Amino acid sequence: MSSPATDARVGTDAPEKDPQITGVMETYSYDDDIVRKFVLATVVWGIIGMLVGVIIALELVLPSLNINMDWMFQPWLNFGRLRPLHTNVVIFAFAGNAIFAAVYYSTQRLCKARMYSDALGKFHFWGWQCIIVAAVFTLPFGITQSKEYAELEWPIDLAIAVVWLVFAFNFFGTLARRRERHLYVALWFYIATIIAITILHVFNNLVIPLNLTKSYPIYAGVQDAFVQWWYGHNMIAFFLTMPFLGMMYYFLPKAANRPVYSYRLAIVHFWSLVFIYIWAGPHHLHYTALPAWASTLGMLFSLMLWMPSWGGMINGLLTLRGAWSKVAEDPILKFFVVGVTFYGMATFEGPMLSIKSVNALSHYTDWTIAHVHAGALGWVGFMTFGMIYWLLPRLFQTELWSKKLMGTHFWLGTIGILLYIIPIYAAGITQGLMWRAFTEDGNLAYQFIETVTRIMPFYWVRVFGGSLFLVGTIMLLVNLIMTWKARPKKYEVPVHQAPALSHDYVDAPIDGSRIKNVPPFAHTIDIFNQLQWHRRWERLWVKISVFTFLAIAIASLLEIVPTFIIKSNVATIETVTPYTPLELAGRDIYVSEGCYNCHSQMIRPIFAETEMYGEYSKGGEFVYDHPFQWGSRRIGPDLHRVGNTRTASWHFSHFVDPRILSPGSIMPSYVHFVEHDFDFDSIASKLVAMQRLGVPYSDNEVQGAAENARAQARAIMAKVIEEQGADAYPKVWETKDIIAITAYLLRLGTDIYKQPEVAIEAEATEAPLMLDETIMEEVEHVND
Amino acid sequence: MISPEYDKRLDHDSDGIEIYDNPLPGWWSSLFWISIVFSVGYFAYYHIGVGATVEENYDTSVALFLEAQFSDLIGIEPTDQLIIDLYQGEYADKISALRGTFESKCGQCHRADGGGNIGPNLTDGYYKNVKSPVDLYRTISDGVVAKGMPAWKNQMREIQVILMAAYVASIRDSNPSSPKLPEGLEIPAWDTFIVPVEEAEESADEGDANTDDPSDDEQP
Repeated sequence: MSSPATDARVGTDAPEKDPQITGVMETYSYDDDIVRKFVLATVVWGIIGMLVGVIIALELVLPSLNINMDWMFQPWLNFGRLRPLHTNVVIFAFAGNAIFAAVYYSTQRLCKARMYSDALGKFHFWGWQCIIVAAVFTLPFGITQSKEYAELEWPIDLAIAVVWLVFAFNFFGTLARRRERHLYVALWFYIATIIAITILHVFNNLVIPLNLTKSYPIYAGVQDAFVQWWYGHNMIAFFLTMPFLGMMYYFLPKAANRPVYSYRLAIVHFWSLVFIYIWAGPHHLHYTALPAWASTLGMLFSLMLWMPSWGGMINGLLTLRGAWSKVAEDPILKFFVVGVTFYGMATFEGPMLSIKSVNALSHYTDWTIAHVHAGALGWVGFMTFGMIYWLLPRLFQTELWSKKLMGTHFWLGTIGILLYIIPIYAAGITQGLMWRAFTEDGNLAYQFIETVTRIMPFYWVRVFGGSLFLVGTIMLLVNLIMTWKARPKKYEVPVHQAPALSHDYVDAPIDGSRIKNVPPFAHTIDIFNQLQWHRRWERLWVKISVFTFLAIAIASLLEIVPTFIIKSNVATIETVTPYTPLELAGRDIYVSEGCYNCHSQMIRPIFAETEMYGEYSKGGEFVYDHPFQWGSRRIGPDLHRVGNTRTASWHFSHFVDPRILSPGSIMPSYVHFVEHDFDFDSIASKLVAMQRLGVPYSDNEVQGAAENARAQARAIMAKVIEEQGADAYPKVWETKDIIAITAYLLRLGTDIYKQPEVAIEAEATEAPLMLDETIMEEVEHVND
Repeated sequence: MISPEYDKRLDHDSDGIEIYDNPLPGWWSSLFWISIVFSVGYFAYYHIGVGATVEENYDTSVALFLEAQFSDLIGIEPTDQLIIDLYQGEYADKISALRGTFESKCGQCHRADGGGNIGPNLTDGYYKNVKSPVDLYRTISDGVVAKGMPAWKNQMREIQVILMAAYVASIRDSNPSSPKLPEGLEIPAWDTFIVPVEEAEESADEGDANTDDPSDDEQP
């Protein structure tokens, strides 16, 4: 054991003790009431979010649970609508409230100051809970932007922005009024969180509203996908990682009563995370129509993230040196150890999955889901649980009700995580390998449906594992309530004393380099390496904030600007034209039902994939797609070329009962499509919004939108009748939702096979070329 | 041994939390630098240098596949004779192996066993758009768009369409589990379309000549 250092190289706080430059002595107390609120919200929303998770996991094995409510013909409980609710509640409500609890508790103590404003804190708390309630009352009703973890519609997005800025103001206000000159590591992570989330949220939610419950993003296709995954990955970075690292740096050494392992490592891994994370998003779009250079940057920056992430893990685990005997006894430390271990595992796996050839196997499979849950249940979940158990006796000023129940929660949670992730890893790898398997005769070895039925046993185990994790969280709620019941009549509010920060503070001079006989630049490097300059920065919250902002903003611009302005990134295809009014409205139904939660619309240039689905997708095919619908997983097959292989009557039959045509299918029935009247008259306003986004609809097309849609609907129905006879399907379906979504699906992926108008005569007489050549020529032609 | 510099604490605590001034682990710094150097090299190789693009790799894999599977079929012309020969002759195994592909691509409308559902029964000898075996190829390739049959030439390579036509020819007179009622006209048995031997030789010569024709394009 060492004694407190007197090493002059670091820590130059001594002048603060000089009475001449010390501020006046002040008294203050901490606002723990707000922390109690956020802790309770964390647990309650956690249980709701996990319960929804268990429900959707059950829906995958028992598709009949996707109940169609007769009232208003609404499928509120369909997988496609509930899955966004699950992700939004666990991310924004469970993890979000946990972050706020950690920030409000630790910031006050690290700053020796009460939060800037109790009232702003209350506004923040209630505002945030209202936002989550708004999510609960919009997502199941099909009100969604369809961008993963950014599904909430624009009025809620505005509310998020306001509440977040209030939080930011309250936080930075506290920093400004602090009585502790040094900003501890945890605070750096909170600063990065607040700044990054503000930027991400704003730029991924730029939309043109159609009405209160519907909007279209200003980006289309490739660009929309790029911005979405720039956001999506950095939500994981700056919402589910950085603040939890901050949480770790405060609560883990507190609980272990041990010094943090390395100051230097904390500095290096913090800044490298800030600089590198923001670039990594495009690894979600490998092999897609995203420009190759962007995809490569996504992969390489992810590889470079491996060590910075592990810097956090090392600092967490090595802080426990000398405390391992305590870990064996204390469930709180056990939660932290398992949490940090899962962090290390997930941040090794993340870079691995970002390697293109690994991603070729893993993308669209459940492997991603297993990876995410290792991070979400293991890291975010267990860090949160550890923190809450540590806080409960302190917040309610009494003993924890049951240490035994806490221990049971730990084991139930751990087993739950393993029973969740192991089968889902197996399911993901099974899917990936089956999708790419060929027979000796050169045929695909499996039909898609076989890859679904094969993994059903794994899905059952997942339901069990997830339920255990949920039961563990319910135990936490019981412990919380019982501890709260034993609280004192009146909470004790200790009063502390500390001098205000003096304005006349002067930094001690930085030591010079101590190495001799080297050129001057070596001295500069040596001084830089001594990090005393960083010690100075730690007293300057504005400086840290500005540099964090610059790192994030500059990296973002370096990726985003070329993606948007270099035309050759998205080669135009002449025959790709805007959707017809009926197809456009049908697309809105597709978005609203959350089809993207199970179906991709992006065929990768991978041989097995083009054999199964057809020609790979080109960026130019998506230029009118506001928003993009590429999806991120294939619970069902890819749909990008479905317009070439299915007929209207097939869709009619399949929507009503998918299992008639695909025995073993786990898709919900969409029988409400034939019940719900389709609204032809509102289409014109959709075209107007599209016009504003630059989609070339003429004013005549806008005016004739409803009539055009009715005509197309009649034409589709007429064809069905011609194919199947007059009594196969009710004619009235041409006025129901089913006609619009069918029109959209019939259009999907067909444009590239059309002949350019000018060239029709010249090419009509020639023998048809092989497909690959046709497309490549077209693209080249356009590039010329 | 731990050096004397090890486990020195900073002389300042934050809310009681102390922090050591320990150095970065050597393996950690090394791996971090390696990942950075590797990244620079990787980017240079693939985006400035000669590394193959994803599309180039894809084209290569398609070419290798066609070479491995269909090298002896490249350039063949779909004819009545060929369709029949394919499923009756030396390719019979290859044709019957198409059952899985038929199930996933065609079975959605014609049922996995070809007995018909949304699309007509393909086993009963009655056909709506087929007068001779080669029409199977044409129907699959171009579709009958007005009647709902998609044009599969956009989804399959030409050689695969020819082989699939032979598969569809081969399931005639099989016994599906729940056959749809006949639609269209009854077509004479496929064997009646076999060309007498002398004529066959002539057309075979023509076939050879055709393989040199540059407008044939089975290759990617």
